[in-house]
Amino acid sequence: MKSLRIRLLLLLGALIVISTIVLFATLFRTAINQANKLFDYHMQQIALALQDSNFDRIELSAGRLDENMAFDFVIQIWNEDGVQVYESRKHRFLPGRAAIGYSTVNMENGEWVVYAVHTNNRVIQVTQQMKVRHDRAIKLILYSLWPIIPTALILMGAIWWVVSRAMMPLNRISSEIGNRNAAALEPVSEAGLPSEVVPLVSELNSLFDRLSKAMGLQQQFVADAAHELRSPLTALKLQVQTLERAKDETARAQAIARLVGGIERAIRLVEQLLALARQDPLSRSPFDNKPVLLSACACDAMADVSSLASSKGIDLLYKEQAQIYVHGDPENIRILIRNIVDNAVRYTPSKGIVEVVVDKEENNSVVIVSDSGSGIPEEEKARIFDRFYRVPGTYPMGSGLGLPIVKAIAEHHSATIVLERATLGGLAFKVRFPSVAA
Amino acid sequence: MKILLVEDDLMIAESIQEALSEEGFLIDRVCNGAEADIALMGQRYDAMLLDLGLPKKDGMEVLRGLRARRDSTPVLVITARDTVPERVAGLNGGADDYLVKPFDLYELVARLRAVVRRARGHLESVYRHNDITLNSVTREALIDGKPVVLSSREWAVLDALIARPGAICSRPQLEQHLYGWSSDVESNAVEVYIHGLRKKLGHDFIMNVRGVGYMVAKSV
Repeated sequence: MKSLRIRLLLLLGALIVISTIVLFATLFRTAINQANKLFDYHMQQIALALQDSNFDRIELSAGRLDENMAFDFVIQIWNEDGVQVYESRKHRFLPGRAAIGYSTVNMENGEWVVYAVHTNNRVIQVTQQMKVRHDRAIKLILYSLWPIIPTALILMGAIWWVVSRAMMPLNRISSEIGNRNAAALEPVSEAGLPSEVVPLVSELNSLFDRLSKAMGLQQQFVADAAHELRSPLTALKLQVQTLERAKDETARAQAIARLVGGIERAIRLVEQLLALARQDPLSRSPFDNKPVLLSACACDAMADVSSLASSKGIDLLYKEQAQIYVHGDPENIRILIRNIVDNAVRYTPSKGIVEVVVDKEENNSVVIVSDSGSGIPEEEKARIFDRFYRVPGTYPMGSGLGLPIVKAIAEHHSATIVLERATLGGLAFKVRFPSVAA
Repeated sequence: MKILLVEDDLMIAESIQEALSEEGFLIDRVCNGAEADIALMGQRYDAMLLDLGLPKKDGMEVLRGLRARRDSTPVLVITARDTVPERVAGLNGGADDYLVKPFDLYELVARLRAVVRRARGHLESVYRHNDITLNSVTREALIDGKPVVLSSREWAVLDALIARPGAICSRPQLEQHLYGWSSDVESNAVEVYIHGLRKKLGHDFIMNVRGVGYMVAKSV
């Protein structure tokens, strides 16, 4: 049974019904006993009342009494000789002289209760049909006890009302949340809530807050991305218009070359934006988590950057000190290494060197990319991981997203990044992966 | 016309410089706000194309500094900042026009000319004097309705003179209109071009004020 309210109502209702029944039964028993005692007492009193009477008649005269005043008791009196001197009424079956005191006699017409007392040389016996006494008793009890039933019903009604009232704050919350649209992440009011529900609502509000912050970051990203796309698109538009105006073959060739460069740049930016978006925890892209051979990723990454390196006359070197596996997503690790190497090639002057090393440092696997460039000044080291931050004036132009992506992927793999001075003279970009049982 | 182009995106700057050069503009190019300040304080430009998102010093700061120095160089802002509050801030901050990226090349040129025209107080781009008609937009020179061909360097000098008719342009000022930073100035280039112009348009057209400079009469 899923509904709390119905469960409460049924349980409480059942409790009330059971208690009512038990109460009724107990009271019934007690009432019956008390009624019996009362009737016994009556019989004794009648018998005692008659002890001094003299009877002229031997039986009760009929017709004298009112129709409504029925005389249920039968009175019999015997004298000391055992002769019946009085009988109040003739019955077909009547108990004979019974023992002194209270007794019950079974006759063909049912049970009789008998009380006999010996006094003044006579035996006075008062008898009553059990059935009559029983009927009287039942009537007495029912009249006394019937209010229990309406009381029980009212109680059940009251419980229904109380439970419904108690559930109202929950209904309020569920309808308030149900009426919201997808973007509404304001906290739910905790006013008037029972303290048992407050922790639930409080955690819900905390979840809303986290979601709202994550959505805010995502919206910010979308806005930033749209903004960043403007410059590449402007360049494309201008480059096409320049192509349209080109007057001769050389001008056309140059304009086309520039246009191709502009398109490459736009493509690169979009690719990086997508890669960055995929790193977002809200993006729901599945990440692999399997053993990845670092050297394979490094070689793939370097292949991606080789044409850029050769166009600048930069030597791209690779050194593998150990066969190393790390746990993670192979595609992402390739992107991580590629972006670092791409960055190194971009910011290293022509005819320089960029070296990629895969090694083991204590228990950790490391990838180190060193270059012969001019390194990074201390105050810039934090900024280079900001989205869209670029060292100004370099050509071909980066997207500004390479290193933020590296940072995001490193975080996913619980890897740390260290920036040091390289023996080659420039920057040594080190990524340290957590140790893994080989 | 001599224009200062302040734009940090190299591809955009390249395209603009090339297109405007073809249109007859002479372009000096810088890629950050600090260099823009230095260039502006070094010489007078006919106009500035100013990107706002610049390294070292933001474009709005450059603009504010310019106007604070009471420099009335016409400024056409080109930027990706497109919201209304940003546009209002740009115009209120002293920009003469505000163009949002991505923009059309032809629109850029037209707005640039409009901004310069307004700054010069000219009604139109055509200069008339006696039987001479000069249109610096179309690069048409007519004497008595008959076209005359002028080289772009000649146009550069002529444009500087008809920009402020009745005012004297000194030789250094004319040299600035002929040369950007990357070129070497020939020592008597200005005289050579003035001589060429007088030959084609008439000797009395350009007046020589000894020791000061050259000028043309007001447009009729």
